Amino acid sequence: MTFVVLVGLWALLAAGCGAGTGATSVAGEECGPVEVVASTSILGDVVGSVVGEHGVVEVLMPRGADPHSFQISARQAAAMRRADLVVVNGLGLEEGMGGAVETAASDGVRVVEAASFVEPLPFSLDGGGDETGHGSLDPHFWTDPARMAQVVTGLAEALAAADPACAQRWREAAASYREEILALDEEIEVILETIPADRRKLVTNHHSLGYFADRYGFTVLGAIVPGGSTLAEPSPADLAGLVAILEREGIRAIFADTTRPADLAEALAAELGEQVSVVELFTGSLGDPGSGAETYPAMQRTNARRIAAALGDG
Amino acid sequence: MDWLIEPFSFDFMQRALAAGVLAAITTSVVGTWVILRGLAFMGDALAHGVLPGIAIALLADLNPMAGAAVAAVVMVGAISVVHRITRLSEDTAIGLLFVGMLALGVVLISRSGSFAVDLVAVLFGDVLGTGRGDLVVQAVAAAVALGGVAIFYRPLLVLSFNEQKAATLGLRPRLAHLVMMGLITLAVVASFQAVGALLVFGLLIAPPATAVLVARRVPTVMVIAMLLGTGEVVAGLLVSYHFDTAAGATMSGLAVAVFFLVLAAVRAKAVWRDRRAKVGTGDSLG
Repeated sequence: MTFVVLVGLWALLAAGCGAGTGATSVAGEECGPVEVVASTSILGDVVGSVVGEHGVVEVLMPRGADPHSFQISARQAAAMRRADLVVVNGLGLEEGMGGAVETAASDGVRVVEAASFVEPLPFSLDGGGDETGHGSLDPHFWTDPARMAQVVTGLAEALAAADPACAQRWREAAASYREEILALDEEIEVILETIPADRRKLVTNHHSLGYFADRYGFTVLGAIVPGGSTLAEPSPADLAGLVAILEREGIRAIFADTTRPADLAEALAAELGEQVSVVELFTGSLGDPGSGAETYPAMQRTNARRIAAALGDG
Repeated sequence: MDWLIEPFSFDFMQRALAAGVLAAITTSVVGTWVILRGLAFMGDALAHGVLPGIAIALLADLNPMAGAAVAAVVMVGAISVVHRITRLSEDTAIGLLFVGMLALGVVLISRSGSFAVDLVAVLFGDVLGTGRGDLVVQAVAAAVALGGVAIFYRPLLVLSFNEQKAATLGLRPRLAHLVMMGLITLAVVASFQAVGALLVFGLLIAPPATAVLVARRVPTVMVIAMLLGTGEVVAGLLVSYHFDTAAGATMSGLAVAVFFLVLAAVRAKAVWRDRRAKVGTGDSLG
């Protein structure tokens, strides 16, 4: 009896919704607005800067959310189905929504991984295990504006492919934003000039500054949280090893993330006494209004200033 | 009606619905016995204790469901060994294995140095990312659960109320107990794609517990639990769609919320009936 009811109910629902997933845009004459969905607030800002007034960008993750542990709602999954283009970070950053993105792609949604436009780096230092496991590429490419500039070019092509009638418009919009990002890159280089080469060493809360280090000649000595997964935690031996590194190298600051609690970083800093401070950086997400990290360029600038203040001669 | 139909016009919502309904059927049928036999702690421990199996499987690029199943079998076996050869009660054995397995899982993930484990999806589910293959597995699991319960109905029933009697009736309580453990494992392992290893327990316990509040006969409890579970899955997906909440957690949370609503309603009804009875006697006395 139940089964009849259940199957009946199911059939009813299934029948009610046969219609399928809406209209796909035809390569028409007019340059209409596009709908883009971006996973992180950072990508949302970058895509939004390119799209400008010519479309709507919906960002899935709220500001301040940890991208590794974010899960999407059904409404957001539906927004992905309606979008002309879905932009995700890739390289495993969106741990909690990987399946939803994959099935969207297999449902025929145009999905592009921003990280596919740059040359990825392996994680600079791991938490003590071996690095043979697959997926050990670092997803935090946005900490290097030069790479972000390449992503902007890639996004222009993705937008052009999604909206061929207006391909030229997207390439032009992207080119001007790309200039802005390249200028930002030079500006950051100037900000960081106060840090002498022998002090360009970073210890971070989780592995987030590998690309930044690669671009501006820093070395990442270690990270407190091993691996990129949310549940991973360091062993006492890991922490003792980090303390030894910090002492030997005379490190002055541990860089924490605004999206994660900094308890362990604080504990390490306390262990080492007053000469080490914990500095919060915006790494996983843009900040709230007034935080100095409202947009991608502002975020990178603020981070660079904080790093320069912590490590530089200033 | 648009708010009801429109969300399910998406393929992914239809798949999520199917995954949720199949999970609700499997967990309700099995969960009823979990409630009746007071095995909630065992169910909880199994739901969480499969973590190291899933972690190892993901790290070795194997099927996480197979890993979870192996971990569950190891756990059930170890619990029954500890229980049999010591004087410790079963819940002590369950607790030991539960914590041991969970700890092993976290240690493995922390030590692996790999960034590939989608642990968040394992713990909280990925119902919106359900693929066709997942549905086939879940459908088979639901069929096995229904068939298993139908075949072993009498042994399970007698075992739930009187283990001694089961033995004297020749109903082989040990076998029934093993079947029971197998079914719990099946329900948990097959459903974690839909609601996650942490939240599957909500579907396993909440709908049957709610059904027990309003029904007495075991088959009735199962039927009501299935209907409730199905309704909660549909409602959970709709809430997730319209109010922008995480899908798996909404379904599980709703199942527990419904329990308390029904409990309040049942209590209110009882109080009201008592008062009326009292007023009635008062009248007759006066």
